[in-house]
Amino acid sequence: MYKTKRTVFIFLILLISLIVLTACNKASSSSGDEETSKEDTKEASTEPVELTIAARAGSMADALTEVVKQYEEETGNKVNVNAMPYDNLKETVVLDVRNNSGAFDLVMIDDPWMPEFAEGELLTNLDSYFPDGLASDFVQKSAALGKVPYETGSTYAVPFIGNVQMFFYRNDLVEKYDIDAPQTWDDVLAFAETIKDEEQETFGYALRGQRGNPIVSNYLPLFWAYGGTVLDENMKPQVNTEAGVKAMEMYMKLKETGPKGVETFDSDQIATSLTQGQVAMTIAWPSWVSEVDNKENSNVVGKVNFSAVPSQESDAAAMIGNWLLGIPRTSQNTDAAAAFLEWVTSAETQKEMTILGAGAPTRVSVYEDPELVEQYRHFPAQLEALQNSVARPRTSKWSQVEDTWGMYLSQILAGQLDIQEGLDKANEELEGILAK
Amino acid sequence: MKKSIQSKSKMKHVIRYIVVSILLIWSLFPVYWMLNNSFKNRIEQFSDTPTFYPNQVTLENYMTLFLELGFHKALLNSLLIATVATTIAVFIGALAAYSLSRYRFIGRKGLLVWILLTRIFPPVTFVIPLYEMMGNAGLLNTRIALILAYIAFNLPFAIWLLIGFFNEVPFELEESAMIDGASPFQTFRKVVLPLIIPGIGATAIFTFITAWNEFLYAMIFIQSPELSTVPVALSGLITEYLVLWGPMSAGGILSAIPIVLLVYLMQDTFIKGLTLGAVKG
Amino acid sequence: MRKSNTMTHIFLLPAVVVFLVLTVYPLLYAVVTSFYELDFLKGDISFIGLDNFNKLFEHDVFWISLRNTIIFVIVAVLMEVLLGTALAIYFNSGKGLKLIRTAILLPMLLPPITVALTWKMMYDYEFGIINYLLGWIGVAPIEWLSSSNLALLSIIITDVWQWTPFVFLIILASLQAIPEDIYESASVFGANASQCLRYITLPLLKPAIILVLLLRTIDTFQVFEKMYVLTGGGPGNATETITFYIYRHGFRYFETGYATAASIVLVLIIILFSIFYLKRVLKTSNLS
Repeated sequence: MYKTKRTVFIFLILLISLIVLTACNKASSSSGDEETSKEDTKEASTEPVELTIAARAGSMADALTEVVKQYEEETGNKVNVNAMPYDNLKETVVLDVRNNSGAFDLVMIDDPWMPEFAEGELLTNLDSYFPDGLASDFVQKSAALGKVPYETGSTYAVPFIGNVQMFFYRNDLVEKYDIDAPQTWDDVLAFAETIKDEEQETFGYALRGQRGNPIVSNYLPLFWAYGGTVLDENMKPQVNTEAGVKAMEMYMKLKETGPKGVETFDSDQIATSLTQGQVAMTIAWPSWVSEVDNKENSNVVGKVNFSAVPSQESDAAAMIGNWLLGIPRTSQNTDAAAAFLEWVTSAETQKEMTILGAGAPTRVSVYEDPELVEQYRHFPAQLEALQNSVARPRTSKWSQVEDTWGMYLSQILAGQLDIQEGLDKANEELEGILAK
Repeated sequence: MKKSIQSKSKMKHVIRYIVVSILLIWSLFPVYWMLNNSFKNRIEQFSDTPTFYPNQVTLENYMTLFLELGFHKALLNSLLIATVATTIAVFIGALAAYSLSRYRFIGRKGLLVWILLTRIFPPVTFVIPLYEMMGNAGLLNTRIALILAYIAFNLPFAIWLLIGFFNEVPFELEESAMIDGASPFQTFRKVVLPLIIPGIGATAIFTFITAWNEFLYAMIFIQSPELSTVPVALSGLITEYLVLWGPMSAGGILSAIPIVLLVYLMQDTFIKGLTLGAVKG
Repeated sequence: MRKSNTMTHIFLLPAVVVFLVLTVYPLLYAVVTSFYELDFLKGDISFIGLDNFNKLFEHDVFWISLRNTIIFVIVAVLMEVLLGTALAIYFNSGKGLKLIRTAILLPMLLPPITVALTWKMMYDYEFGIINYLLGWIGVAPIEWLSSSNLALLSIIITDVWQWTPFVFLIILASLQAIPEDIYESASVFGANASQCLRYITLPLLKPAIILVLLLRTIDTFQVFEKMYVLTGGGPGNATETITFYIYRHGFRYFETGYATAASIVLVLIIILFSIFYLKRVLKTSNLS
C-alpha cells in the first residue's frame, strides 16, 4: 500500500520538476532570442528584427495581421500583432512604457489619449523620421491628432484608422414614407416618431447609452449640433449650458422612439439592432458598413444609407475618432518601427487594409481610389465627414472627464436625475477634475 | 433519516423529481444556451423568436476560433501554466499546511494572518508592483511570470484548505508511528500524506480552476499572442464594434472541456477530499 | 501541537519564500502609495498624508459604490449559502445525487468572461431568451439590465447561479462526513427529521458554513468582471461597485495613489465584515 503511494508521490515530484524545467527552458530561450536580436539592431539595421504591436482587437487588427505577412516577406522582419480589448490596451501600454519594459515597438492609440500620452512622455518624437511632416495626402484633421500640441506641434503618432461618426438611416423606410433624408435632429425625431407609430417591427432611433465612453461619444454630436462646447478657452467645463440641456432633452425624446434597454447599449447592441432591421436610424462608425452589407450577418443589406451627422442650431459636427500608431519611447527597435510605420500608413498598404476590411483609411487618395469607391459606396461621404469633423477636447484628463460626464448622462438617461440637476452636478465634478 | 426516506411516499418522490428537474434546468440552461449559440450564425443568435436548437448548424464559429485565432495554442498555454502552477502551489502548500497544522513555532500566528490578508487584498492592487517586479526579473512575457503569480495567489487558499485536511488526521496515528521509530519526515510521508491524498486532489482542482480562468494578470504579463492563455484569447473576441458571440460561445464550451474532464475523472477523490477537510474549516 | 524541528522549518521555507518575494512587496507598495498622490502615467509623485482618504470619503460615487457592493455581498452570499445548504441537505440522501453533483458544477468551471456574456445575451430585452420564455407564461418583458432598480439584482442572479454550486459542494462534503450512527441513535431516542436537522445536522455543519461564508464574502466583495461586462457599472450608478471604482481610478485615469487608498479601505471593510468568521477560522486552526 505505502509503496504504491510512494511511487505516486515520487512520480509526481519528478513530473513537476520536469514541467518546470521545460517551461523555464522554453521561456528563457525565447527571451534570450529577443535579447540578441535587440543588440543586433543597434549594430546593423539590416539584420532582421522582431516588432511587436499593441493593437485594438477587431477588424483593423485582423487586417493588420494579414498585411504584415507581406511586410515580413519583403523585409525578413517579424511582426507580432497583439490584439486587446479597449481598456486593456491602454493599461498594458502604460505599464509597459512606465516600467521601461520595452515589449512594444508600436502601439495603437485612441486619439483622445494623445494629450495624456504626450504629457506622460510615453511616445517617441517622430519629427526626425518625417522631416517634412506627414505627407499632405493624409487627411489634415487626422494628422492634427497625432501632433503635440494638437495641430501645431511635433508629430508623435501617425493616423492609422480614420474613423468619423456618421449618420446611418434606413433608406427603404425614407422612401416608403416619402420624406427627405433627415438633415437636422428635429427631422430625425419626426421621422423616428413616424416609424415608431407606423412600423410594427422597427423602432425609430437607437442610442448608445451605456455609461462612460459609449454615451459620451453618442451624445456629443447632439451637444455640438446645439452649439455646445465641452471646455471653454480657459479649460472650464461648460456641459450644463443651455445647449447641453436642449441636447439632452432631444436625447431623451429620441430614447423614447428606440428599443427598450438602450441604457446599457454599447456598439454591439447598436450593430445588432441595426443589422436585424430593428431600428431605422443611429449614429455609428463607418467600419460597421461592412457588417450592414454583410449578407451573413445582416437582414438589411443594401437598405442602409450613410450621411453626415444631422445638424441643428450649429452646422453638422461629426466626431472624429481615429486610431493612431505611435512608437513608445522604450522601444528597442525605433528605426525599424519607424520604417514599418511609414510602410503601414502608405497609400498602398492602406488600400490593401481597406480591402481586407479595416474600415477607414486616413489618406485622401485612398478614399478617392476608384476601385475602393466602387466597393465602398459611402467613401465620398465619409471623406467629407472626416474633413469636417470635430475632435474631442484636448486635455490629458479626458479619460476621467469622459467617464464622469458619461456617468451623469447615464443617470439622466436612466431617470435617476433631472436633466438640469444632472448636468449641473456633472459640471461641478468636472471642474474639480480639471482643476487638479 | 435513512429510514424515513426508504418509506417515502409517492408525493415525496414526485417532488424530488420536480426539484431535480428545476435544478438541472437552472444550472444547465445557460450552458446549453452557450452551446446552442456556438452552432448558430449571428442572424439566428439574434432572431426575433429565439431558436432552441440551431436551424442552420454552422461550424464556422469553431473554425474561426482555431484557424484565425489559434485557439489551440491558447489551450496548450493555459494547460501548461495552470498545471505547473497548481502542482507547485499544492506541493508547497501541503508542506506548509502540515507544519502549520501540527507544530508550534515563532511567527505561526503572524504567518496565518498574513495568508488571510493576501487573500483579502483585491488582485487589482497588486498589478503595478508585481508588474514592476516581473519586469526587473526579466520575466515579463514569459509563462513563468504567470506561473509565479498564480502560485502566489493560490497558495493562501491551498494552505487554508489543506490545514483543514491535516487537522482531520488523528494525532495518535502519528504518535504510534513515532513510537515505532519513524522519523518525523517518515511519519509525514508514510502515515499522514497518504491519508490526505483526496484532500490534495480537491485543493488541486480548486487551484486549477482559478488558474485556468484567471484574466487580469494573464492579460498584463504576456505581450506575445503566442503565449496568451484561454481567457485572454477569448477577450480578443470583444472587438471594437461587435462581440463575436459565436466564437465566444464556442470558446467557452471548449475551454470548459478540460476542466470538466478533470473534475469528472477526479470526482470521487474530489468529493472524498472535501469530506475530509471542510468540516473543520 | 508539537514544537517545531528542522523538518518543519524546511517545510515552511518554500511557502515563506513565496510570500516574502511575491506578496510582501506588493502589500507594502499598496500601503505606502495610499499616502502619496501618484499619477502612474505621468510619473508624478508627492506625499500627501491622508488626503487620498479624505478625498475618497468626500466623493459621492465612492459611497454609492460602497452601498452597492454591500447590498451585493449580503444578498448574493446569503442566497448562495442558504440555497447551497438547503440543496445539500435535501440531496444528501436518496436518489439523483451523482447526477446533480456533476451537472451543478458546470457553472463554476466556465470562463467568467463567457459566462457574463452569455447572461448578457439571455437578459437582452428584445432578443433575450429569458423575456421570450416569460412571454410564454404571459409575463411582460423585463428590462433586466437597463432598469436602475433591477440591474444589480440581475447581476446577483448570475453570481448566485455561478457560485451556489461551490457552497453546495462544500456543505455536501461535510454532510457526508457526519457518521450515520449519530442519526440512528437519535432516531432510537425518538427524534424526528426536523429535530435531527436542528439539533444534529446544523450544529455539525456550522464550521463548514462559516468557511463558505468567509470565502464567499471575500470573493463577492471583489466582484468586478460581471459588472464590467453586463452593465459597465450602469445604468447611472446602479451597478457601480468598489472594485469597479478602484479599477476606473487606477487603470483608466492612473490615479494610482488614490486607487490604492480605496483598496486599503476595501480591505478594511472586508476584514470588518468577516472579522467574526476570521476569528473563528484562526481559532480552529489554533486548537488542533
